[in-house]
Amino acid sequence: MLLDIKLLWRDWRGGQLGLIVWSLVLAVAVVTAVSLLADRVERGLNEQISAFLAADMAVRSGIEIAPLYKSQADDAGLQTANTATFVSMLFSSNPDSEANHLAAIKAVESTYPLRGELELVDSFEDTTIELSQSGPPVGEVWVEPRLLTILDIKVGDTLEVGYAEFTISKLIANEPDRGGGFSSAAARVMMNYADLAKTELIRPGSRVNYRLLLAGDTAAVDQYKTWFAELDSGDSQLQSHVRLQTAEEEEEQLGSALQRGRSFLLLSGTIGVLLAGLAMALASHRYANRLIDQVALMKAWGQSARRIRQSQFVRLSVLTLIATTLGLFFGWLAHWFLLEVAKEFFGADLPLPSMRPWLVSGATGIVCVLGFALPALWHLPAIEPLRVLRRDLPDSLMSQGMRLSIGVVALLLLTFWYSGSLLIAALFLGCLFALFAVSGLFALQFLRLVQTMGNWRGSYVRLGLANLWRRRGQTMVQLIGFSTTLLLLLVVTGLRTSLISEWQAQLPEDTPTHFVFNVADQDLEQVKSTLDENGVLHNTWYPMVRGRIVGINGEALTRERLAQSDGLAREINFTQTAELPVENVLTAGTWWGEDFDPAISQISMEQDVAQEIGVGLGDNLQISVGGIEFSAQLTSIRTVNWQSMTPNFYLIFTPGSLDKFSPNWLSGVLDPVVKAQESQAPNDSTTVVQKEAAFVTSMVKQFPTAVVLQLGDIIERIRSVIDKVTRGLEMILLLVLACGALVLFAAIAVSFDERLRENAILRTLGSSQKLVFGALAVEFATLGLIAGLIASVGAEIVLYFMQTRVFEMEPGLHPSLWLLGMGSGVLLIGALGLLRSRPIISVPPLQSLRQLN
Amino acid sequence: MSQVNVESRPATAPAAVQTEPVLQVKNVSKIVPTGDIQLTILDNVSLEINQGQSIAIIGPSGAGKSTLLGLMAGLDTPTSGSISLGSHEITAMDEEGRARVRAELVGFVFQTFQLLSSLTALENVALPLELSGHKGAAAKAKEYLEQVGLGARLSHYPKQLSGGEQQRVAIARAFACEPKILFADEPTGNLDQTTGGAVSDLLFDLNDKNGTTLILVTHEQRLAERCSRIVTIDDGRIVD
Repeated sequence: MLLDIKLLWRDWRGGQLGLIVWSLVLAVAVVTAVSLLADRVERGLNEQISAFLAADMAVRSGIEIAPLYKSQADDAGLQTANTATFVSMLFSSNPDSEANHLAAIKAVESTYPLRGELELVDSFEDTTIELSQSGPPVGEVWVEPRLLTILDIKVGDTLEVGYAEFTISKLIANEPDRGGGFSSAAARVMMNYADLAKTELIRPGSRVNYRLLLAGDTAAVDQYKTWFAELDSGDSQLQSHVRLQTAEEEEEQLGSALQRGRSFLLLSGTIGVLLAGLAMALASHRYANRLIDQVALMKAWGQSARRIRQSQFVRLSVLTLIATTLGLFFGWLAHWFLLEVAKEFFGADLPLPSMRPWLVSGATGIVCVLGFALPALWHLPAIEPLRVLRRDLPDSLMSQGMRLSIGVVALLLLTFWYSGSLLIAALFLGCLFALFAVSGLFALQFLRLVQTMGNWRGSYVRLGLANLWRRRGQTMVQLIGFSTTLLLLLVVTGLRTSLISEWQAQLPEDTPTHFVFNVADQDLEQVKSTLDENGVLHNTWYPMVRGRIVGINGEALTRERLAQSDGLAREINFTQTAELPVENVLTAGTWWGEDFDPAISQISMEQDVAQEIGVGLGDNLQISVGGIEFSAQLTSIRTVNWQSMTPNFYLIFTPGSLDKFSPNWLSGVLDPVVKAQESQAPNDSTTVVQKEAAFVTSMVKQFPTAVVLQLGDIIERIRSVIDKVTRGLEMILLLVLACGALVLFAAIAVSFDERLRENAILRTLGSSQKLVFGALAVEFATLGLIAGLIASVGAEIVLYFMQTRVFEMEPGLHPSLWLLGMGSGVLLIGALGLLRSRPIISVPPLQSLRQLN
Repeated sequence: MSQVNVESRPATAPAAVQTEPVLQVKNVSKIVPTGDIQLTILDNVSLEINQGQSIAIIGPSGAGKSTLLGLMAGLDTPTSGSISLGSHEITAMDEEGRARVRAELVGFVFQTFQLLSSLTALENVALPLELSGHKGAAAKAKEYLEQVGLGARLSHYPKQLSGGEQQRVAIARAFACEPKILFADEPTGNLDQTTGGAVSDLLFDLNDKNGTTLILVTHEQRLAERCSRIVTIDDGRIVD
């Protein structure tokens, strides 16, 4: 065994193992990085779920929860706590500051939290965390530390929430039910439930999430669940607005989402594994070829086939162990970078990973060796000893087709394991190979083209291009590997840098700059005049009411059926209007004219929702708003342009239908000053932040219940999320690109002897070093150019689909991506190729020839 | 059946040591199929070689010299006939058995040197010793490299050595294992006359010193004449 390790060390020193080891290290590192990240995020979220409710379960509703639910809980002996969350605009009480912030207000009863604890600190500098099992006292608010920075205020200051004033007494470091773990853009302000009324922020139709938290022993909890389920199957009107949340249910939902996320990440890592596997297979074949003489010699010296297999097993095992350990280490390092991105979404402290990612990654290393390296080496012990005398004997190594099949099976196994589904694995690999095939076809055409071009160029160009064509098998492998990786990188880069800006630039001139909503009926006229005074343009105001569809043609709509439509699974906003909103197009039925019958409510429904819940013209829909039901007839179906950045609604009613529900008002408004600033610097995120419209302050101070959102801020938030996600993906793809570089190195290594001989002969015949260098430069630069070109074409196609299907915008070309694709292809492949071929140029021809003999 | 002609060598050649035969080839034929035709490479060859003898097998290209060498060394199996190495009838053994016999008795020197390019001169010589579990392989390898005059080139890689030096390393490697029988396949075939001369001097010196039985295949009359016996093969038969 020691001797085998010694032999391994000598092979390594001789440079025969480098590529195999680094391919394995990279493959394992890619998988380790992504699986560690996925695991930690998953564990983090799961941990948060178990305390997510700050209770054992919660009754949840968009309207105030009826007393029945609490009294039933009291009867069952459960503890209860009411909470209400909503957003509201807050202003700095600091006279020197004009800052405002759309904060997430949460009013809690003093019994809150029923499970878990609030983590509080006294000030910014304070590091001692105080645990609390009750919410803020009356008259005080506890806030998230960042609110102080945003509003330029401090602990002890007064904070105005709606029409009431509060003292900031503590800072919230953490709360047990932070809403699924995603840190929201709005900072938290927590107040006592008893203070809620004083703020006067809750008006009919206000968007509030109510929860009745419940906790107790298992029997009581189960009793309540049974009671709730019975109510569910009954005919209660109230019940259509409430839902019982349990930890198990949330875990189940999150579990499947996380499984999908983990699969996606690992599958993107699979491309890296595939490329590294390809490099490993090429390098192993070369290594096996080098070992043939050694094995024949060893057998001539009397070593048995069994002993040789044993020796190879030890060598391969040690190599796997070392490379996999290195891969795990580098993957662990890389996952910290990815974690920085993840932290933006999942909070600062993610729990330590479980054993699973280490096992998955370690097993990936083993499967890679079994699938890509071992087949090349498998038949070595069968080499005949007679080869020491007769080198013309067949080497009996495994055929290329057989090795390819084993490699594909290994990949299928890995993808199956990563995704947990044979179908996904097969589909994924199928798509990937289809992509390879298409890039391969392109590559072949380009190669043909450049080969003909070489005929009328200078001698080293001709030589370089001829080399590409002559070794087209290898060239294709490199092209496919690089173009696929560059393609993915370009798509991600394009998504990050261009798409949002392009979409933003295509928004019509009259796209609103702000949305104003939650305007109470009695404030509407005053709000309008305030806007006029500030020179802000506003046009259509929509009354808004929250409710849901509860039945079709008198038959109750089941939760299952509602769940088929994303738009209807929750409470949604209804409006009523006499005119069809702009960018809405009727696809069936007729729009109500001026002379509709006000006694009969009519509905116009968005086309996709209508299809999803299966309703058509003439159907009668039962609607519930705040527990009050009414019927309306579906008389038209329309399409909506969701990208228009104007108020859009799934359900529109005939004017008057919603009057009795005290709607509040919504409109998109345009501040010409902000518009001018935005059009000057549409892509500069720093100026967006400073573009605070003058009207916002005066208006919201006057009407505390109103909420103003700046469109630029929303777009900026979308851009920032996309930016972070794509940066994370880019990091994974850079690792994948490194695997692509290994394929290049392996391909150069395979043809190395041949190149060395050719160039030695060329040099011996009097060709200059410059010619040899020039030919190599042309060869690799052209390879890079073609890979970049294929990648750019591919990326443009993917972006075209994203532009037309996802963003629903006018498609356009991205010349900068083409430049980036081809430029980086030429530079990267050119530089790496030349670097790796340096010995071919620098070794004197005589030495090369002797080396080969 | 071809007769083995044991010719007395001139006084310059070392005298044959008359002991028990260390190698016996009896009625050996080697026939290989090439397409539809059965090609007879060796035809009913018999040969007996005693311990300590040096035998040159000569003949034109394609006569079957190397095939005979391979069969005698137990690297290949004949179509018919029997071969005994020492007390072992290797033709009755499987590959594993032949491997054991090779490990025990046989050493090789090749025309193409067959040095492993990733190993230094010292490591190349030490490798077969290490494989056979020899303690102090490096010291012994060093000793033999010094004997072939390469004491200063221990850590050189094959590509840093001239052809002659490479073959000297190969000779040191072959003798370091102290084989009973050394098979040399055109040992000077890749070297110029002077270098070849020096290499063959070394080969015979070490052979004498170690009492090894030397069986070499060569085209070179001068080299052949240094052996105690010359066996000429033509068209698969021993003709002289």
